[in-house]
Amino acid sequence: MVGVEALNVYGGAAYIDVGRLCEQRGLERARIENLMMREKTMALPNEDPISFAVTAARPLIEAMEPAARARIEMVVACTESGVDFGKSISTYLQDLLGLPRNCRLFEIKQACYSATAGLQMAINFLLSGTSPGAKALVVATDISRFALADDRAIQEWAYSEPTSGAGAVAMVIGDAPGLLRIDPGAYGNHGYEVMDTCRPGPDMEAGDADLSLMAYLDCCEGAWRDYARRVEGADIRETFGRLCFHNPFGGMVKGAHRHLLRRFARAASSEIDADFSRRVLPSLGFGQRVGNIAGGSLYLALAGCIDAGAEGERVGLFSYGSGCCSEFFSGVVPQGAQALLAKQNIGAGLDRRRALSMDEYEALLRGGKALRFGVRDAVPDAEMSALASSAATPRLVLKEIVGYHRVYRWV
Amino acid sequence: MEDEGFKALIAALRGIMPELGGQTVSREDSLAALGVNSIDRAEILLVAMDALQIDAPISRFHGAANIGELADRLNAARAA
Repeated sequence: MVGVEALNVYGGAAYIDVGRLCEQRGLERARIENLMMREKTMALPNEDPISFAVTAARPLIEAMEPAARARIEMVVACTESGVDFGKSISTYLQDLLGLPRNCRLFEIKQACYSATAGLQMAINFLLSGTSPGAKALVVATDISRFALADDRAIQEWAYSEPTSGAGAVAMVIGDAPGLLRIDPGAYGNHGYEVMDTCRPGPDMEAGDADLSLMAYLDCCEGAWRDYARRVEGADIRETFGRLCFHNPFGGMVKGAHRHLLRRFARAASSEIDADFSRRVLPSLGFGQRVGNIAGGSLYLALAGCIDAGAEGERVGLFSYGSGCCSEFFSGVVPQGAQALLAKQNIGAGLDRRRALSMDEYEALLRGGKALRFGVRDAVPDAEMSALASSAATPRLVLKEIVGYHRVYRWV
Repeated sequence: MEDEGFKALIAALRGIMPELGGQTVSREDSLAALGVNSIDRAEILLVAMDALQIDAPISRFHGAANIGELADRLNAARAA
């Protein structure tokens, strides 16, 4: 038996109201409703994927008995917001969290599929039995800072601006899974080369939104077919009490769910709507407040699902990463999971964020105060960093970069 | 010859956007220009593919400039 023993989300210290942002950008009503987004988190200049990751993981590590902590033998950082082409974020996690040295430390990249790749790496490490009783820490961490490069970059990014967020989801994987017991060997993959969205340079994102939506839908179908090929008797309607999807925005999840039910269950529209409300909608709660956090989005959905009550249910999970690769897999939520997850007070953490004004948001976005990729020596801008909520503590922040080395402190 | 692809797309479009009412929709129109959002554009295509019994990846129909071009591609997929 292996799976998710503990999970925490760090959703930042500042956010912008998405409705207000859309109005500011003059977006059409049809598009705004389609998004199903309320708020999105903004990373501040003294925050980065490492500070987010450590803040998310620390409560989980501190809650572990020393003997259990000593059995963490793998730390996987899953991100498309890397800070170095060689040195993994996991090395900083090992140090800042006081983790053992007999540990595999590395970083995984495949767009929004990365966290699932990391989770499966950890799960299969444990299932292999090569180190009985071992545990793994998997952290999905991503921020969006794309309006920095130039006007062209801003234009490229404009489509995803309303939904691109920032956040980290940390998970301890082990043989006493209190949150999600993985169904071993129950998975399906679908991946191929497609140029739908990409991050061709630091602080840049580019792509074709329509193609990305189509690739997501094709992968949803393909990954489900592969799962059903492996798992005898699997039925998209009957097998799962809940469904969680990679969530760039709620409208996309709704469309994917509808496609699966129409194609594989031949369900009518009214049945599909009712099914979505029952099995999928509960998982969208946290994502609607943080925005698209890439690989972590699916696990934010899982957290939302458990938080809303899913004990005893088998959950089907669909992960999609542009470029592309996808996976459909499943697990069961054990009794006690809701109370266990509630200890992290994820919702309250989001409530503690500070609401940015549009002026503050624009200043953050275009003011050029963010530390650029590859900077050798720097101190984050104090004024912009102070836009954070004073209640969002304890959290890790970047103090300075010296000779490319990142130095942090707790606030 | 009946343009089954076009008929299927229009039926799907009117189902998803009844507010179009009696407005004529031609092959030269584009779904985006008619105010259809990205999710609904994909939905229209999927509904049309379903009606025409086309079993193919939806991405195969990416990049059509207008409804007419999309209809042509659907007709070609049916014939294949």
